[in-house]
Amino acid sequence: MSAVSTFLTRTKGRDGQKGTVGLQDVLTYGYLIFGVLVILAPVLWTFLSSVKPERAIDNFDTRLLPMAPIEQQVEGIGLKEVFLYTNEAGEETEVIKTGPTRKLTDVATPDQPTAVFTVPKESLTVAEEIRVATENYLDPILRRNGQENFTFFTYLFNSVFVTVVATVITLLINAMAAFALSKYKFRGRLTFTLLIVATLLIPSSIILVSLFFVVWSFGIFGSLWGVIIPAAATPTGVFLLRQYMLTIPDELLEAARMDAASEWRIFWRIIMPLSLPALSVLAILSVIWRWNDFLWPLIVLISDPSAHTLQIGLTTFSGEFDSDFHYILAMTVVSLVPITLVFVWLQRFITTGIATTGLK
Amino acid sequence: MTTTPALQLKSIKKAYGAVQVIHGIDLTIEEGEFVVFVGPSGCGKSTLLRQIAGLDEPTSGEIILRGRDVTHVPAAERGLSMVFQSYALYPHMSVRQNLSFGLENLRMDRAEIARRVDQAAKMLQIDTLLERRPGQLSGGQRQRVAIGRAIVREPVIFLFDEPLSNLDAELRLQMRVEIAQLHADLGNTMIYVTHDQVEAMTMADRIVVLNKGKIEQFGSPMELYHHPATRFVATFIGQPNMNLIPATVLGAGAEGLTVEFLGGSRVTLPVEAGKARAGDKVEVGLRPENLIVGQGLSMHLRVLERLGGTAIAYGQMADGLKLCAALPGDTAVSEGQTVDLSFSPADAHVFDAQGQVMRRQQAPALAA
Amino acid sequence: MTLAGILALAIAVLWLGGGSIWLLKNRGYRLAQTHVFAMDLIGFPVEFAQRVFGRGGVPYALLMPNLLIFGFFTFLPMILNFYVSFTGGSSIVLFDRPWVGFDNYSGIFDCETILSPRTCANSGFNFWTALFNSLIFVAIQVPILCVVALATALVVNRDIRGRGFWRAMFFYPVMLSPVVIANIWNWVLHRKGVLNDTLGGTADAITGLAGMTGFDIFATVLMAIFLLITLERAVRSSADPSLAWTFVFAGLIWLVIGWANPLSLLGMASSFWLGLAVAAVLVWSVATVRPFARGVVLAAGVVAIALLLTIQFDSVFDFGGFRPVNWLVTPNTGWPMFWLVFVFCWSHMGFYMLILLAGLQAIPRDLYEAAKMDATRPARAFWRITLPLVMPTLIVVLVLSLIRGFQVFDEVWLLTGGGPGRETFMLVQNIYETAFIGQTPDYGAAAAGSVLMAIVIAVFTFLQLFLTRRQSEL
Ligand SMILES: Nc1ncnc2c1ncn2[C@@H]1O[C@H](COP(=O)(O)OP(=O)(O)OP(=O)(O)O)[C@@H](O)[C@H]1O
Ligand SMILES: [Mg+2]
Repeated sequence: MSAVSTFLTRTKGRDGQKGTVGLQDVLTYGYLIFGVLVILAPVLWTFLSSVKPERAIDNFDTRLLPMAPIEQQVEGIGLKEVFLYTNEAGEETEVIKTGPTRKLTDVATPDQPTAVFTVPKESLTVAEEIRVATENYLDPILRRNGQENFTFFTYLFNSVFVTVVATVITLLINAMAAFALSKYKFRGRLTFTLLIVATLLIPSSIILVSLFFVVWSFGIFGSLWGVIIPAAATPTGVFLLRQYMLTIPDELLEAARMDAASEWRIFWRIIMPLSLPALSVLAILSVIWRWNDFLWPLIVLISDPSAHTLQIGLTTFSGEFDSDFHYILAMTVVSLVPITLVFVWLQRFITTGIATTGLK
Repeated sequence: MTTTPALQLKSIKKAYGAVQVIHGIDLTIEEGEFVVFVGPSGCGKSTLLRQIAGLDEPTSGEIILRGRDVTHVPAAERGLSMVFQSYALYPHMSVRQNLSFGLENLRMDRAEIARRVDQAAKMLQIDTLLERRPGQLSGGQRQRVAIGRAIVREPVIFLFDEPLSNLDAELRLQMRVEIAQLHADLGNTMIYVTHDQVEAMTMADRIVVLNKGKIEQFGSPMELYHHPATRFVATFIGQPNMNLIPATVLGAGAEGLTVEFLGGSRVTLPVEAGKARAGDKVEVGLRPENLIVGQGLSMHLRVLERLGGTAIAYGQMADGLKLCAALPGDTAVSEGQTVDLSFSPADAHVFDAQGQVMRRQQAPALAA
Repeated sequence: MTLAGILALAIAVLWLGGGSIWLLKNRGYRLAQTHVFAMDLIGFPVEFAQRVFGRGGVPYALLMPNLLIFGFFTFLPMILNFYVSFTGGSSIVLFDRPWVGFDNYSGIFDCETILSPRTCANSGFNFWTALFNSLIFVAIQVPILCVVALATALVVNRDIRGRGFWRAMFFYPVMLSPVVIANIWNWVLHRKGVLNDTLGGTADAITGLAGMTGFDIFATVLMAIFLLITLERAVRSSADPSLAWTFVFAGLIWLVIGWANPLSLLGMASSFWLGLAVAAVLVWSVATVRPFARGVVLAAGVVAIALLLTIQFDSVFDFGGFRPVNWLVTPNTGWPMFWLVFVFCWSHMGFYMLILLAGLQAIPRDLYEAAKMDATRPARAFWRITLPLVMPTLIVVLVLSLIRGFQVFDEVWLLTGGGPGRETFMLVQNIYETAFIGQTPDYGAAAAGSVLMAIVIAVFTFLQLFLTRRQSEL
């Protein structure tokens, strides 16, 4: 409680006057809260919607909680929807409809379905309960109730495979290149550095068509390798790592040389461990890039459903079931959960890491 | 009996691009010697050491290690070890890993590695620190670990590149003694780079004085002190620095060279005249500790530092030339006074216009 | 067997087989050192290069994999792109493609007037429509993105509670994939979705309020009180007006001018932009510490009070019945483009914010302390210290977001699909559809479009760097 009150009455800084809340603080926190609302509200709304029953989704029920009509097994009739009847005195009774809905509708209590009586339509309301619609998630994942097309685990595997393999390759070869460019003097170093700057300036989408030709002639079109390999060498990564490795003192390398270490051992045992901060930033960036990659996988993998990544799978799924919003929303949530967990787990590290390790 | 020298350098030259840094160095270092390279900053000490270590290749010349030409052999295969100025400890490894890394690279037996590490650690009293990281050590402890890393390799030659320059004065003194002790215990050949002449004088068996990529003189500390070969060595060795007083040659005789100082006083110094002619400019070098109170040079005393046993007097001669004298501690002079100083001609060094020393006469005085 | 297969096999045999033999022959490994062996095997080409060529060969071996990939998958396609753009047909075997010279380009330029894409042939229509849409998108999105990112970076760089949390929150959308983002916003922006529902509910409530008797007088008085309080706060201190309060005051003025709609007397439709301009002038003159700032603020206050009396609050707040808008589908409203810009900024802002934050943190603290010693006002410190020093970073952000803006595809494809009509059809979508969608893929035309797009991006990037060259030299 006291934390809340100090939070609320906090002044603009250590040197602000104590005890008053400046307008600057109000504006600052107002901006922050507004911003976070804009960012989180749609995500949370999607999550809340994804657990609503199909009917609530189809009716665009905008209440926060997942409400579903109560249904009850009635003897001799079967499953019937339950309504609440309010009589003139204001008492409520649970009833079921026994006939079509008219101005005056025939109803009966569930216990005595044969004792029909008539009430005005306006006095009936749908009886509802809170029900989490797990079937939104389970149907596509377990491939039941006709949801055969969303092979979730295949997609997940493909996505994880692409992300992990591409990230490992990226880290390894970018670190090797950065090591060469930062710690050796050799003929052509400037040329190579400039070449890599040049790739930094070539937007990937303008070489789309011819990259397609190259990947096709290598025979990796349609396979996951066609997504992994072309993007494995990233100029951003080389630069980020090079910049970091420049700060490692040369004397360490020389000490290792005196210690009879081969150059590869120096790379592996000295340079790599010492570049860990920069490597982890690149790893995070690479995971974000590869996991969220869309256009290139769309081109390379679209023809083979068993090679779809989660993103492509979700796209085709959303396209096929344009109206099955409850499944789409559930699968959207499923595919945002892994990256959100990674984010929550590493958030402090991600933001400070990216902000401090350059990217300048 | 001739033994193979531990290390021979034959006309080593090194250029970085167009800049010539080492101008042809010849040097022979005997087995078990403690040799110190000393010289001002930027004179090429580290560069020379790195050629010896194999971290750089010389532009020309030969490096011969125990009779084997190693000029083009990579550092790893020369069997030397080096202690760096900044220690260069691997920050991500524990002390033990730092010590054993080099031995692992040689694919040594694990038991042997452990034995050597423990032995070195005990010797350097870092055996309680083995599991710490370098970041958790004090400066002196880091220094010991760096030395330990050199010891475990059991190298042919130890190379030190200004290993004490990052330490505070007291610790530096202590480590200096320890390194000297280490040399006494191990008996290895050691090459030690420093620009601190006190370190050089106290530790070395022999000193190499480098200047601008050339050897000025190579000899034992006392040789350098008493018989500096050049003006550079003379001023570099000895604390406080030697006084250099310009003078003009009047003539040479049997007793030596007669010179006239700017003030007009004349003195005959027992050195061989060589090619010196009357009218040549020379410089007379006088160590402050060789100056005594008496007639000869008169100095206006500016600052007097009484250190107890000695009193260092700084002042100016009439022509503005600065002079420094180390007088006995209780000499009755005070700042602002004019003091008359004199010296024994046998203590004077004479340097010609090129800075080369003029050889002393085989004076009968020495024989007497 | 494909080219890649043969290559992969050859490399595997040479690397793993040859490497194992070489390593085992040259070095002894004990069983416990299997991991060391594995590590050496990965780096076998480097080890080998060192053995054969000495240390001088090592950097080349280290660079090799990266350069191979850059060469094959970036530089080769760059050059191929030109070649492909001069060929026709729909074959994917390069040598089967007939040379057609400049046909693909002339197809794009086959227009009566280039400024009106409708007069072009088909491929020209697509390209020019896409280009103009992209230009509009970039022109709106880049400044908004940069300003919002800078503002957010400034705010989260302040000494606030839970800084890490806020920074992380703003970065969160960067982690989300375009498909997820598109699905989320499709759901929110649906005609019956939560946005329309909320807007409708709010509009109805306000309309209801406005219908109550006395609302007009009540709202006028309330507004007048607000105006007077903020005005008093803004000019209270004897020195320059307070920036924060001027900010609020400017916002109120904007509302008042918008509602009073003085331009309607001249027959113009809306005074929205006039209000914005007046508010901007106010904030600018106070923020840059102009000598006339005080006068401007006071004058604006007087004008605002006068305008306030002309406002009919009950009609301003009478929205009538709210009609749900089909945000992403309704043509000729500008809403689809608006939402694309919005979603794009929503999802990318965090990244640029972090870059700018790094730039802000690189500014030494003592500069601000020195400024404080010189009694520099915060607003002035911002213009004279923060902005110039963060300018190099800001330019990086500008260039990056410009290049990214031209390349936008995912969000557009998934949210509007280029529609309604061709309203949000942009450059990359044009390339993608020409080359990969439809019965007869026209790789030649797509490649020609790519070349032209590269030129456009290059021109704009250099233009931007040229215009900002003085600041970036700092
Ligand atoms: N890699 C290099 N490229 C060009 N010049 C160099 C290089 N390394 C050293 N030098 C130059 O060579 C000269 C000698 O350098 P060196 O490091 O050997 O000096 P040092 O005697 O060790 O000095 P210090 O006492 O300051 O360590 C210096 O003038 C230096 O500028
Ligand atoms: Mg040095």
